[in-house]
Amino acid sequence: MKIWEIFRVALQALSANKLRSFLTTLGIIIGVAAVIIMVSIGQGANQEVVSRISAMGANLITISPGRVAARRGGGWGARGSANVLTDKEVEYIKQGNTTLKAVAPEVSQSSVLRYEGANTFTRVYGVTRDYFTVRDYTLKAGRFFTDHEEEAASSVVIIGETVAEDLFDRENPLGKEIKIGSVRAQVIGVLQPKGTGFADNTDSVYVPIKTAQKRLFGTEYLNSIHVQAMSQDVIDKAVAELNMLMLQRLGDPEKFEIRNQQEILDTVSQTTATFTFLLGGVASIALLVGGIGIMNIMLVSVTERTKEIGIRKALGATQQDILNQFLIEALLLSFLGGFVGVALGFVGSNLVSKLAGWSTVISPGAILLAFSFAAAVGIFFGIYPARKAAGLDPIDALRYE
Amino acid sequence: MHDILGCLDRPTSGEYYLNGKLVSNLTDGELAKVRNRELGFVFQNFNLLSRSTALENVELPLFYRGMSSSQRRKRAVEALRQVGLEERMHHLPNELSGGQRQRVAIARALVGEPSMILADEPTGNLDSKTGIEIMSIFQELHAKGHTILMVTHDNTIAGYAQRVLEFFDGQIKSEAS
Repeated sequence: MKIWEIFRVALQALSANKLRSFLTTLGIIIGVAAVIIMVSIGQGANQEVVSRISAMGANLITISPGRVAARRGGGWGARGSANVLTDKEVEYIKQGNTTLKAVAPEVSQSSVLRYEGANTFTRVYGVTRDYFTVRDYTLKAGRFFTDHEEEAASSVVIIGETVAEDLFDRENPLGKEIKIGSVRAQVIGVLQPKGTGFADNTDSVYVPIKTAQKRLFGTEYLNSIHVQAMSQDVIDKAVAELNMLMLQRLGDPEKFEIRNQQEILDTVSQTTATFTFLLGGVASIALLVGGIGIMNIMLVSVTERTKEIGIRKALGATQQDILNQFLIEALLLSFLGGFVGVALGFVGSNLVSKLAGWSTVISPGAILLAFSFAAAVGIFFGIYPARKAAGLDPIDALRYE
Repeated sequence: MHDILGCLDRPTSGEYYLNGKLVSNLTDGELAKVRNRELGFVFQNFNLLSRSTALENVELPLFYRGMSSSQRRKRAVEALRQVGLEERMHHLPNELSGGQRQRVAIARALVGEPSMILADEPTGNLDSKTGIEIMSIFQELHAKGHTILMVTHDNTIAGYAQRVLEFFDGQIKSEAS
């Protein structure tokens, strides 16, 4: 007996009761669609977070001061409060490393900025040219610092977009003089906005590091050193190397802290993966309930068609024939549900991303998972009614009214 | 009795030989094969599949035999022609009269070329005129060499048979030829 003929018979049986078949399938449709939508939301969230973190710069490693105040004593400070990082450490890292593409020290404080009547309170960063490379910041207008400006601690500043709007409104900020605290500085560039949320670069301004250290803050200590590894592959090696160099230089692992972007990324990915798993798990309960719906209807169908089963058996259908027939009907229901569910899942997750503004990612894996789960549910919940049908006694079945 | 002869049931005691083969202790699967190849059923209440056309009903035994669809169709059409229903073969059972339905059932019993056609009160649900029609079809088939075993309470119908066994409470009461 050819498979497609059994399919034809099954299709005929299902179309004899279209509304009931549709309602049964609905359970699977909703289940599959729910799984796909939920997983796509989870994966969308994951992608979003990963891209936000990646926006901080590729292959980024950050060295920050540890808890202890260097040399001066006075007990334990807050994390990151130790004054241990200076230009000397930067030089030491630059010379000693074999895996780094760029080393960018950073010193920062918050300060009031003024231009004519307008003022704003924002973070002022003292940085080198490399900083922009490492963080992957580009200019919307103007230029970066020149070597001369960096060396001479010139009063030049590159501003973020929000600052430009706050201070200059629609005026062109290039060439204008603003006051950072009490120091005058000329705006030479405006940054292209990059990143969102916690890795935002729009509400901050950047001056040459020497300008910040000597003219603005009066400190030689750095807040952090950003370094960029040559590639993704050497990140672990670079972290180990930095640890060694810093330990050689500072002599105490408590004095510094090295954070690796990849680590943060892994942690976050893990969190959102759990989240996705949870959403998918909840949605698959819907799928399970749909499967029970199939079993229910198939059982009703077996009872209803007892007479038909009797006739078929009298005409020479074996148990296997009857089993196949009912199993394929159940499978057909769940497959149809699977197909429509996948389609609905596509539409649904697009709707979610349009209406709620969440990014959603439909992965082939999620579709495959939902679909094969639907098929498995169909087999699992179809097998009992089918066995029941196959096991019917032909005489009882024939006499059944 | 009919059920045992139809291989639908097994005897509690005794043996049943069909075509010289002991069938009373076969497995369910083997019995299904015997029903499919050796027997054709005609029931009192027709027992046609209501959602399938006359032709599909007649094809059914061949379907379970694993025959190709073109061959099935050819033989089913031929069987329907024998009972004079070839122009109604695409009708559903509920579009046919009782006599026509029974003729479809006979075609279905016939199509597999069985050793024996088992008829259980084939005229029980029919008026006497159609009953006579059905019986004449049986007579034709018998003339062509088919073995027909019929169960009936109607002495007129029993009169068509070559050999009559009268049962009373499960025991053979008399035999006549």
